[in-house]
Order: sequence, then C-alpha cells, then structure tokens
Amino acid sequence: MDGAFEDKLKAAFAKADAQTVSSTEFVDGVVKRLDRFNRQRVIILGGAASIGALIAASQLRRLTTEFQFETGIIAEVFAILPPSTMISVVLAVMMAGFGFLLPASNR
Amino acid sequence: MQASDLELVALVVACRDQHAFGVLVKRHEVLIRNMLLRMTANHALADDLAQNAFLQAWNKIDSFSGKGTFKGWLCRIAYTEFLQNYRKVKSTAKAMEKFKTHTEVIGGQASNWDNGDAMDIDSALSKLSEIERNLIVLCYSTGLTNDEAANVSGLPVGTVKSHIKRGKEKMRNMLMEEKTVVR
Repeated sequence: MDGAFEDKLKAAFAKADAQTVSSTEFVDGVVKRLDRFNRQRVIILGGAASIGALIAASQLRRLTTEFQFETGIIAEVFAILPPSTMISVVLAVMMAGFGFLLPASNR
Repeated sequence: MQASDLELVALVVACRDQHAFGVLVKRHEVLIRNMLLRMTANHALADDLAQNAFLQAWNKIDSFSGKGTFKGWLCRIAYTEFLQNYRKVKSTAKAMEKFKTHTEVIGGQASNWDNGDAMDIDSALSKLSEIERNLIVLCYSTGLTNDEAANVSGLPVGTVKSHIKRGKEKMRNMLMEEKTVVR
C-alpha cells in the first residue's frame, strides 16, 4: 500500500465528511429527547411512588382514627376531607416530589 | 477557554447538566453522523441512530471511566447502536442495496477519484464486506487508531489491521480502476 494512496484516501474521507455540516436542529433534537426522557422518568417514578403512598396510607386506619380535632382549622379541613384521605394525599404529594428530585440527584 | 471533554463529562455525571451534555453533542455530532452515514449510506437513518447513540451516552455516562478518549467511547456506543439496528431491522441492508444501484449508475457516468467525491468513497465502501467497511470508516472517517477501532468493534488488533489492509486494497483497485476509465 503506497503512501500516496493512503494520503489520497485520507483526503477523500476528509472532503466527503466536510459535506456534513453541524446542525443546530440535530443538537436541539437530542436535548428535546433528553427532556422527554427525564419527564417520563419523573412521571413513572412519581406516579408509582404516589400510588404506593395512597395504598399505604389507606391502611393506616388506627392512626387516623386516633386523631380527633373538634375545633380549629384542622377540624374544618377534616370536615371536608377525612383524615385517612388527607394523609394519603399528603404522602402521595411527598412521594411525587421525591420522584421529581430523584432523577436530578441520584444518578 | 473551552472546557475539555473530560470536564464536561464530569459535570454531566455530577449534576446531570444538560447544557454540558449539549456542548458535548455539538462537539461530536458531525463525527458520529458522518460515521453512521458512511456505514448505513442513509442520511435519515444515520441521524436517527446518532440521536439514539447520544441518548444512550446520556444514560450510560456513569460508565465512562476516563480510560481512552470520550470520542472513542462515543464511537463504541454509536457502533453498537448501528449493529443492533442492522441485526434487528435489516433496513440498513435494504438501503445499501438501493444505494448500490444508485451509485452504479452515477459511477458509470463520470466518477472522478481525483475530486475525492463523497459518492466515490461511498460507492467504493458499499462494495466492501460489512466488517471491512465499518473498520475503514472507524479509522478514516472518525480518525480512530487501530487500537481504538479494535476496542470499538471488539475484535483483536491484528484482525482489525488485516481487515483494514484488505479493505484498502479493494478500495485502491476500485478507485484507481475508475480513474483509469475516466482518463
């Protein structure tokens, strides 16, 4: 294999490759897909954790029946939402929050 | 001063910094797209595979140990992506067949090797065996060393060298023949 051919081959590849120009669309496309991927991760993690929290909290009957509030803001809130539902919702929101934070910090 | 690849990778690993990864994508996208374009001979497919390769790189960036270059590591991911697609769908083979017929017609008209035309290179590459083509692309289009190409392809260095030698010999015969016919 002579050096002249080697040089020509390298030059030909360089010239052929130079025809592909940098594309902002391509880079934007990758970044958009990253965003989509991260969003899906948040939804899946947060959703799964929230469902788990809802199920777990609904099992805490004893805990919720022991808290009785006759007056005050908590009593008013409990009049609208039963304590078990309230705890379930709070836990579910917390778990969804963890789902949101996990992808950013734990990988 | 521009941040090095390693610094950017460190940022991505530590903070999942999408902006830093965007810079890496911008820095290497032409290389990866060209590599896949030469392997698949299909612009759209090459760009799709390149996007998938960058997403894989984002997911697996923790596994980049810093041994070797980031470019080599990225080429390995892109090559794996190419192989998986090739084996699964076989669409690359179909595209290659179409491309062969296309270039044969063009090649018959006025191929001039001295111009170093992309069509000449692609036409010659399409006539090599798959492994010869891929290794020549890895070494000449992406500029990897034989050792890096061996690492990317998972073949021993000796085998890589002999495939490249054979491939180059074939290309030399094809391209020089065309040159003689034209003159």
